[in-house]
Amino acid sequence: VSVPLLATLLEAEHATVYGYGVLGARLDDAGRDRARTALDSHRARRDQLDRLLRERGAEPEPSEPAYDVDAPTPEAALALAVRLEEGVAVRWRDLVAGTTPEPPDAALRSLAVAGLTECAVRAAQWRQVAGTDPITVALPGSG
Amino acid sequence: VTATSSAAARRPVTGEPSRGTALTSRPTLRRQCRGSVSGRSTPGEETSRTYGGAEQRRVVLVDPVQHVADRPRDVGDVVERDPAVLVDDDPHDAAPAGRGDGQGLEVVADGRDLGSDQLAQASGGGSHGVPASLQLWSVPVRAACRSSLPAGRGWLVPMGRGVDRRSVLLGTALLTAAACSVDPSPPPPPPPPDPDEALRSAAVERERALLARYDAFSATQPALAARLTSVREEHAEHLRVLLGPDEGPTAAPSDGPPSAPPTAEPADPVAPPAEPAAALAELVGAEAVTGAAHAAAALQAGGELAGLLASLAASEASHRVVLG
Repeated sequence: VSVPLLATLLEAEHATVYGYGVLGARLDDAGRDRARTALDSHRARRDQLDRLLRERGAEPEPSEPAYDVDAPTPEAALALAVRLEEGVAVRWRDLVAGTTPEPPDAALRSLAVAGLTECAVRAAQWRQVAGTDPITVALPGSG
Repeated sequence: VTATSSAAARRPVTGEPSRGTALTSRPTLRRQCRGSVSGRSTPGEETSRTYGGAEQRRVVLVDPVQHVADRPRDVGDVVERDPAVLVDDDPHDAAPAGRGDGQGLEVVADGRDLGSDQLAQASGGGSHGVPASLQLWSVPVRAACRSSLPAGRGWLVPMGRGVDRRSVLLGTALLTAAACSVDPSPPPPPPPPDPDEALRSAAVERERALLARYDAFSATQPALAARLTSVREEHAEHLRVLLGPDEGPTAAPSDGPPSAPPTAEPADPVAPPAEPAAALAELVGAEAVTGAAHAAAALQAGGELAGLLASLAASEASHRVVLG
C-alpha cells in the first residue's frame, strides 16, 4: 500500500528540489539563503524516500531531466516556492492517511506527519516573505 | 400440615423425613410482587396450581418447616405451602427469556437422590435436614437478581437445567427480593467505543481551549487583535472540520466567543499577560502544545482522521510564523 504513496511523494520531492534550484536564483540574498535551507531539507527527504522505496523492494524513479517551472521574477519565485511546498504537503498528508498506526506503517506515518508540518511551516514563511495575507492556511495538505 | 378442600391440587411429597430444625422464619404478610406471591397464605387459598398429566413431576412447594410435626414424611403428605415465589399461574405462560437462572428447591416424587454434597449445599450447609429427594431446579431469576442475592448461601447451586417455571424456591424473603428485581429485558450492552471518536473529541477540546485563549488575549491585547484574528479563524475552522457537517451552528463559533467549553482549560485559566510580547510567547507555547498533541493523536487514529489531525498539527506549527 505504501509503495505507490512513497513513489508519488518521491516524484513531488524531485520536482521540488528542481524548482528550488530555479527559484533561488531569482531571490535576494535572504531569500536565497532561505531557499537553500529548504532545498537541503527537500533533498534529505528525497533521499530518505528513495531509501524507503528500495527497502520495500521497489525501484525508485529518478528525477526528470527538467520540470516545467517558470519563475521569471522574484514574486513568481516566491509564489512558486509556496506552490511547491503546498504540493508536497498534499502528498505527505496522503501518506499519513494511507498508513495505519501499526508497525511497519507507524514509522512511515510519523515521518509523514513531520514532513507535512515542515512543508506547512515553510509555506507560511514564503507567504510571509511574499507579503501574502493571511500567511497560513487552516488545513495544510488538503489540496 | 394442613388439609383443606383444595388438597387435591396439592402435590404429594416423597422424601426422607427431615432431620434437624429449620429455623427460617416466614413473613406473615401475604403480598404479591410482579407475579410472585409471598407471605403466609390463608387456608383454602389457592397458592399454586398443578397441571399436566400424571407423568408430570410431583411438585410441592417446599417451605421452611417451622415445627417438627410439619415435616413431610410420606408420599401423600402435603406440605403446607406458602411462600413460594415464582409459581406459575398459567402453564401456557412462556418462561421469560434471559440468561440468568437462579435455583430453587423442589421436592419430586421419583425419589432421585442428589449427592450428599449437593444436598448439603442445597440446605445451606447441611445444618437443616433436607429430604433426600429434594432437587434443585432452575427458576427464572435473572442474573441481576442473582447478583443481589447474599453471597455465601450455599443453596444456589447451578444444576445446568433450563428454565422450569414450575419450580419452587426456598427462602421466602430472599426470593421475594430476587423476584422484585426481575427485569424481563436487560439493556443491550453498549457498543464498543470507537477509539477514533475519543481522539476526535480530545482534538475538539484542544481546539476549543485554544479558541478560548485567543478570545481572551484578543480582548486584552487590542494591538494584537488584528494579528490574532486570522489564526483564531483557522482554529474555528479546525473545530468545524473536527465536528463535521452535522454539528451546525455550534461548529461555527467564529462570531463571538465559542459556546461554553467546560473542559476547555485544562489548567487554571491564566490571565493574559499585559505585555504583547509575553502574550504572543504564551500563544506560541499553547500552539506548540496543541500541535504536539494533534501530532501524537495522528499516530493513533484511523487514516482519514489521522490525515486531518496531521494537518491540524501542521497548521498549529505554522502559526508560529504568524505569532513569532
